[in-house]
Amino acid sequence: MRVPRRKVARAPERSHNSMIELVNDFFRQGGYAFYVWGAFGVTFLLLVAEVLTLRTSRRTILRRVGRLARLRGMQARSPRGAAGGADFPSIPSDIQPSIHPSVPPSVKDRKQAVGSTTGDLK
Amino acid sequence: MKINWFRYAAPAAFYPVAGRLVPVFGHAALALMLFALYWGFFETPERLGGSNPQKEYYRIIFIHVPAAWLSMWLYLVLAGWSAVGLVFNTRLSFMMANAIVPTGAVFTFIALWTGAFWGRPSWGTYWDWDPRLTSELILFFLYLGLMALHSAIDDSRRADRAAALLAIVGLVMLPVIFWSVNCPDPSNCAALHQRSSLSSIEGNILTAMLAMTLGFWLYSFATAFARLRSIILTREADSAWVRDMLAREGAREGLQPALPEGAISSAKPDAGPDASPETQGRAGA
Amino acid sequence: MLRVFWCILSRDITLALRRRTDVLTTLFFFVIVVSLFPLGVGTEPALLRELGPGVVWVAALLASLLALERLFAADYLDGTLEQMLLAGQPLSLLILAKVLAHWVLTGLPLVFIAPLMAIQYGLDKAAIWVMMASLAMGTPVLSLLGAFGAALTLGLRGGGILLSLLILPLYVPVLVYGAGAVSVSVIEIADTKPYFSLLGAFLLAALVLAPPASAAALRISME
Repeated sequence: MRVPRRKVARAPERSHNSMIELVNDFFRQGGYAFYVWGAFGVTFLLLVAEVLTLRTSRRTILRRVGRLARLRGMQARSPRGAAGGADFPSIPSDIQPSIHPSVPPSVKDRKQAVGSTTGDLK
Repeated sequence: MKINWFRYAAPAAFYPVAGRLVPVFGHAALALMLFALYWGFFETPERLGGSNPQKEYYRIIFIHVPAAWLSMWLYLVLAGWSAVGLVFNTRLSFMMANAIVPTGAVFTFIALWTGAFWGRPSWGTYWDWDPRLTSELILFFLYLGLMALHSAIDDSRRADRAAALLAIVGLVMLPVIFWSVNCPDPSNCAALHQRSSLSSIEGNILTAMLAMTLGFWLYSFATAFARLRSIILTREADSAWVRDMLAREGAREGLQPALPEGAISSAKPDAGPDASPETQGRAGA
Repeated sequence: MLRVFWCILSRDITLALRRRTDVLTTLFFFVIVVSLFPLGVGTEPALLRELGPGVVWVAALLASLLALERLFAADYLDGTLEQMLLAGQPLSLLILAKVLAHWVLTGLPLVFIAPLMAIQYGLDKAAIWVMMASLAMGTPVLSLLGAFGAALTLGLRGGGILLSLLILPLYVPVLVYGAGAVSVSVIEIADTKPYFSLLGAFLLAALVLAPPASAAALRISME
């Protein structure tokens, strides 16, 4: 197994020297640096990525749901009224998901209840 | 004393609780993981094992074993919540199971990756169909299947229940799969993973490993609860409590985006929770 | 109850035989896949003899998966499945009938075609018998497990691929012991006994557990 050799700089004070050596030894991990840090590094990256993904998705969801909730609030107060049919023509189409045709018509669709056509915001 | 077991089964009730728990678990997890890393690197011997010792690369054990344990434990937990959801018909249980799946998949992948990186210096190859790693791979496929099934179904109720059933069937099949991979020849079972018991591991190594396991476990609580909150928000978007909460918090967090043009021209922006009759009409909780 | 079972079984087989091409395409898929492997890995006889059991078994798996989409799809689309759910008969029984029909049309032909495939791989007579027996015991399990997957993915777009992703991990034990039985029979035929015991155990367990699980999945998909 090829063990990479590194020249340690020889400084005049001995204590400073061995400190650098210690740090170098730590990073070299007996020559297995690639494997140890490859494993730990990827683990660290994955866990951090998960946390960051959660943060960004939460922000996106808050923004989207907040906008939707605000629009609904306004719509409800408008002359069109709330407990009516499911028509909200002014909601932008990108935040109103369509009902997918994979559900056959014989199945009860409780999603078509009053007002709540967007029960599947996923 | 009568305990209402279902008090927190309502998403609206659990949402703030989860919110308070996430930072607690997160910080505790971070502390434990840092402790485990320090202990594992600086307080443990440089060699593992007796007659044919493994060299410094054995330190990968401090993430490989905890990740593998967590991957299996999280599957058990999510199957448990799936069962609870199917029996009691509580939405939050399904949401919780759904929240756990990605974290479980991440840990399974970590176990596989670190296993490969441990295998290369010690066995000489990254992958050699060692039974435990192969079973871990199949567990990874099960997690992927759960995620795929849930996202393929649009109706959230059907998606929840289908994924829950799949999780339970997977749980029942898991021992059979593990066992069949471990023992492809029933008369003679051999594996590269030595039969080891916890008691034979040196004390400091065990400490670091258990500390990391606990750290990972608390981390999974934190991520699961955080994901659960996002899921609750998405699913309950129509309900009054979400609207009220966002109206209150939106001002605080500064998440007030500009109104889209073409919206109701004559409407004034709402300034707070409204007690008018339309909240009854659209209570979707 | 037996009359209902028979009724569904004969109905499914009759309907499938009216579309004979569907049944035959599955069979030809199996033949093609098995024939393709030697072109990919090389035609050296010793290598083929090693690979043969595994390849034939994997091809049987894939062929079984292909045919599974059709298990519930036609009845789902024209509403018959809903009638079955509403009928007073136990749904598990009806599913068992459909699965049996599916197996008779896809699994059983594989059992009889397997000897020809085995010859391509240079397996000897004893191994061929063991292969037929293992397939005969294993393919019903594939159909039973597959029914569960088909019920879960009913009516979904991209359902076929999703079905494969879900079910293939569950097929692993049958694959390991089915192919293992044939591999071991080449060395010493008596060694196959534990394999067949295990395959038999899987078959019995699947017969008992898979129909109720599929029934539950069907109810979830159809509500």
